Amino acid sequence: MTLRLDGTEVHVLADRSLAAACLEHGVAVFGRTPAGGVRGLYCGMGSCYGCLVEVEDRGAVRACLEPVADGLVVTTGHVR
Amino acid sequence: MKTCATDVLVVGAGPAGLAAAAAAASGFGARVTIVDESPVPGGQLWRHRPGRTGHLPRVARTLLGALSDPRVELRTLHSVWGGEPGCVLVEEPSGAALAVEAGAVVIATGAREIAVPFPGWTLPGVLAAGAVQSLVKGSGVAPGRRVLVAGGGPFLLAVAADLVHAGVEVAGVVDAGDWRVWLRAVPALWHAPERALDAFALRETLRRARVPLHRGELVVAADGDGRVERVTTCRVAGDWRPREHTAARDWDVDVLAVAWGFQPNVELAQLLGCATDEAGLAKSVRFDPATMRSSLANVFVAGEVAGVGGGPLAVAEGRIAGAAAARASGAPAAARASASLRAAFKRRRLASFAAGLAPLLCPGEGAWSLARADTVVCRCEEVPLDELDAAVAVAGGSRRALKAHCRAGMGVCQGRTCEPAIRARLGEAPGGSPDEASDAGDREPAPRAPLRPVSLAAWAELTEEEPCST
Repeated sequence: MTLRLDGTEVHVLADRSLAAACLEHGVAVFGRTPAGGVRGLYCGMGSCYGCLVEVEDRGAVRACLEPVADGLVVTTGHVR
Repeated sequence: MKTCATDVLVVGAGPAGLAAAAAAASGFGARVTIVDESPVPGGQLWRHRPGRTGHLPRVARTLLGALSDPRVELRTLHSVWGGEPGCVLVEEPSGAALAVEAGAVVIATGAREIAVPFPGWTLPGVLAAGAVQSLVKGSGVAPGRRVLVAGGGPFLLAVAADLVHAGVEVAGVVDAGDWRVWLRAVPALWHAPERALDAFALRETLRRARVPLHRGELVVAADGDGRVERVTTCRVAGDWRPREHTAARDWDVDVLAVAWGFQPNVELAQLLGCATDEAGLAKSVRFDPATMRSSLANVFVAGEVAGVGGGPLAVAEGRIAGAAAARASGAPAAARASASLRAAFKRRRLASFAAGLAPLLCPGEGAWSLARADTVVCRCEEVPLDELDAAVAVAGGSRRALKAHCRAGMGVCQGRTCEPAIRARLGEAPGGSPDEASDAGDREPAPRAPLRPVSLAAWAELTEEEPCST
């Protein structure tokens, strides 16, 4: 399936989490802190909220729990 | 607000929840609704890609197959965020709110990993060991190029073995516990000798893959430009404090998988009003072993939330809880007594094993001294250790005052990640009782709705006439 990740079209296999897809395509920084620090994937199970990314029409979602879907438009690096 | 009714609501589709649902439905003919935040059932322990269950133990395949029972309804991507025992509030994937009215509830919310702050732990590439495991088993994706697995406890071996099986390069396994810790676990094996074989098999996997295993060594820092590039470890004594005159060792890796132990996810149980017991730097839900009933009528618990003890114990407890919940909800049929008896015997044996293993499952004292003044302790609110310490000095032991002074624990994860580190800093020794606090307001306040951030639209659906107005 095809996602739009930070403006670029990427192809990912189905049945994986959005966090896994992000890592596969070189995204290490999922979000930023107000003080200029970085946020990344940490707990992988929806507990720490470090992997929050912005999904169009949905708002902030935990990438580690979000299954990839065709046509998903995702942006990372937002200040949270 | 949308509502639905069921006989038994099971929260969590991991080993305990699946076992409870199967027992309630097939044993008692109860209608069961299972809710889980993840898109795929199986919880953390039985992570798998949909359709690919070959690597799971037989009981997992059986219980996942039991989901096809028409009496069982599985709702994935559903998050429980509030309510009361008879009526639980759930958020659907669309963001809409749903009130579930159930005759009985089984809380099988599992456990999360204990987080230990150390210099560089917020760098991308530092992952909880469970996250690494779920990337390879749940998504079939490597976390990076070269992984160091470090921390303490038996989970290190399991995760390293999973990485080896997935073909990921493991630079090494670094366990802060030395041979003395493992020696203390030997009596526990009396109750569950088969687990010794599991441990042996994991060691063999690592040995054949030539993955070095270092004991009595602790990860002390991660460094890199924008992500992990280098990890430093050093030898420690029995209490995990660095030994004198020892050189540090550097590792060239881009992923550091850390495992420090687990703490039960008790928040839902607390919100509903269940009593809890202290369990190290965390809490577990109090229960009656004969029925797995909590301190509340019609609320049952099973699995890690009732005390960290592994998969087989979770399944045994789930079977007991599911049967008891079905009976409590007034389900029609009566189950064979022998199934429950078997589960009860198994539960007792495995619980003894788990209790014996408990010292291995949480970090040594020295782990809580790794953070330096500028190390972030509360990730969500970016509170470094020196700010936390200043707030501790002013707050005088009151958790509320502490939160007011530095916001640690007030971020989006609602304190789930930083709680053990804060408790360690407050000097709360394992086994300490919150009743020792002088004032009721000093004790940690119980979680309140919402247990997870929910949309204002969901809140707006709660009105005075609704059964679950919070």
